[in-house]
Amino acid sequence: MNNIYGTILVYFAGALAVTLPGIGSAKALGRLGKIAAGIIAEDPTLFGKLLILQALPGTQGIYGLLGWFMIMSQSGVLSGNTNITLQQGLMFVMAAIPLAAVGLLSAAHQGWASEGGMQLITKRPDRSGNAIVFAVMVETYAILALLATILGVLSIKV
Amino acid sequence: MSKMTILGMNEDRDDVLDALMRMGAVEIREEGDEETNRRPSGAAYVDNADVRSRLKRMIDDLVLRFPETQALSKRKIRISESDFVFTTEEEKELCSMVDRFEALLSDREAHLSSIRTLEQQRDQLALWTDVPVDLSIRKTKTTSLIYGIFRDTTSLSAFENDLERDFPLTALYLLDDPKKIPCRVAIVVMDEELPRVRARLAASDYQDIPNLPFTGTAKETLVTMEERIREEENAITLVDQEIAEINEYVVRLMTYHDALAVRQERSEARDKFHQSIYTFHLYVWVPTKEAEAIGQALISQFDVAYYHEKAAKGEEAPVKLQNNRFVRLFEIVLEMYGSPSSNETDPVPSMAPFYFILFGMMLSDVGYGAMLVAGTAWLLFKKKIEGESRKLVALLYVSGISSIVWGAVFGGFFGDLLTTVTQGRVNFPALWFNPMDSPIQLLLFSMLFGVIHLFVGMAVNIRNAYLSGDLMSGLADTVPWYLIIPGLILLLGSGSISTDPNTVATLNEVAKWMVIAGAAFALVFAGHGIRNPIKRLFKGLSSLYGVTSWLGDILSYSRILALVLATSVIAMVVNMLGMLFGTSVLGYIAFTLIAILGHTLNLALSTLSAFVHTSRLQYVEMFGKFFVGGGSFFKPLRRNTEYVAITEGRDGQKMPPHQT
Repeated sequence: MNNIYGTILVYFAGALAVTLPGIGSAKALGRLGKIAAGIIAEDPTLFGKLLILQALPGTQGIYGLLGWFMIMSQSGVLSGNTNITLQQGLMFVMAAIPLAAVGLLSAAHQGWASEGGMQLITKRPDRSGNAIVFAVMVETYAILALLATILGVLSIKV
Repeated sequence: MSKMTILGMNEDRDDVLDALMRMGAVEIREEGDEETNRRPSGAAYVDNADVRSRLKRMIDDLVLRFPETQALSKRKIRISESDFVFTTEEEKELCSMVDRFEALLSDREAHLSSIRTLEQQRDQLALWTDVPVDLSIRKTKTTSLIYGIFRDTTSLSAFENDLERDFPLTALYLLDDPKKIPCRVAIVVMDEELPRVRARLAASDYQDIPNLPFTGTAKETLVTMEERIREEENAITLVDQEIAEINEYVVRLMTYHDALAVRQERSEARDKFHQSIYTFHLYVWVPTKEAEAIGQALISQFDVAYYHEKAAKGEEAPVKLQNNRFVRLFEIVLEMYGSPSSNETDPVPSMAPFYFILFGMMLSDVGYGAMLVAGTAWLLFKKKIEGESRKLVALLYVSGISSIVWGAVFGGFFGDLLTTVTQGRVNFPALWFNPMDSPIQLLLFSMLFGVIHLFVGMAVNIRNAYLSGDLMSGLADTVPWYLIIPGLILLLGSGSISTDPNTVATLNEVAKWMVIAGAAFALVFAGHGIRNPIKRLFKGLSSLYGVTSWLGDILSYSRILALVLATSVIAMVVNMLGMLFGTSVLGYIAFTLIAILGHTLNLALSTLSAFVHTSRLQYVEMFGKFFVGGGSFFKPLRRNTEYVAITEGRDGQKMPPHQT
């Protein structure tokens, strides 16, 4: 019965990992979608390029799901384990923080870089490669945070 | 690249230009001062642009209307050289066709709008269909007839009372039960009372019958309206037939559009000719190998003289990449980044194998790789798509092959599809190891792989330095890191190479001296050419500070692990979701549906991720080690067509060999 708190904390860690980056991605994608739709009204041929730029900040949401899965499977909650101590539960929460925080903010900021990229390709459609790179630079930190979370989660012995 | 000068007589000028455009192998060089930003102008230009844009609108419209035209527009239509020539009469005819088409469209719009009006009127009339009175008669010699609707019972009874009191010469007929609302009425009124009755009606909750073109009773009017709608529809059919007749000429119209575009480009090129009274001369860039053949081809047709020489060392010339068939597939990655300088090494050959491998690692799944290969192969070989997108699809095609290979290495087949479906009885074997089980191992290998990638980049840097005649600076930039990085890795990892303490001690000793030697090399040579010893030492020290950027660069390769895990974990989640419905027949049907949907989505997202992150590792990490840039890609003067491709030379002329 004591260990119920540990299990709850694991769920909390999972929720953090999947919710915050998801919010960040959704915000960024929503704004970019609006901008892209406006550009398409002027020049429908740019659809493919704009879609890629819009999709870029979407990865954080996916990393969030990845983090959720790692937390749930490492803790054994997915296969029905409820025997998790409070300390272990807290460790999962701590391990989830990098992904949750950096995922949320990096998605939002990557959105800004993507938006700049969209404006770039309306003027210079041939420079979509550069536009993508500028946006992808931001994602590096989401990836580093994801790795920190994954490696942290995997190091918790349940 | 070679510089070529062509000298000829003015009367041959346009033909020479035509011939050069057909060959598509020279780029006009603007001699002397910077590229002048001339904007085309003049009546001819405006006419050309106007007709072209109208033609384009017309063709776009036809493409939307006729599926067969749409099929035609998917690929460039092959036409012969003689098809690309237009007589003045034909041009006039085509232009009048454009006029006719535009007139037809506006006719069609007018017919449509009158149909819309008639249909609205028909709906308004619906309320009056049971009234057997000729609604078109509104006047006799001394009376007027008013039809309308009362929308309020009190209003109606008040009006009835007023009639009795104030308007003895006016009669009101109720067409409906006055208790029900709305109530239709007919009013017969003597002309002298009409204005006052009107005023009284305006004060009531009353509405006149809609003002429609009545031709009799409401029913009769309806019949007339239906007839008119049919007439309008017939007119539209006629217009559509005529549009279909015009559509028969769509290929000719497309060709004409392209011919006009080429004509415009030619006249812009003509502005760059240098002219005297009788002769012209023209400066162009040509690929060195083709220069002689092009000159000979010109001489055989025209009275021209030519001269060519290789671009001087250090001179910035247009860049044309030349690679074997495999490497050529990866040129688009460089094209997306920007042109290298003409004086540096082509980065594509050193980049291509890494792109192939890195992409495969990031999307390492046999199933996804196979789907990617199948999809792109269909686009490449069955649909035969063309242009820029073909290059991208071809890149994904080879990269998909790499995905299959790496999927086998890491044991991924739609994630853990086999394991899930067979309830753990069958596992897809991994040739090397499964990243889900040993992520740290993959992390280390990713970074090791990154080091190799970066070291190759540095080797290109040495070659570039050698090409520019400053080998020493290339070595000073790279040799310290060739020593320091492996030294540091060895220091960190010596313990895992051997368990024997003596061996470890020796390895550490070797590593230590490698690092020291590298640092010393940097201190001594980084500031080569600087005389002041203190400044030189500072330059050396500041170059050693670059170790932080190395740390960042190597860590950046950890994204390989992240993407490998992302691909396979999402695939596992899809499989898990699919199996929620159990192992019954229905369960497997649900599984199939979920799997198709989920895996397709994951394939799209993971391919995008693999594509952008592989590109990033090339652009930022590898190119950062050597790329100079600042050049421009070779853009030969050619017939840039949108709809048609010209396949054979005029009069069976032989074209000099060139690659497109």
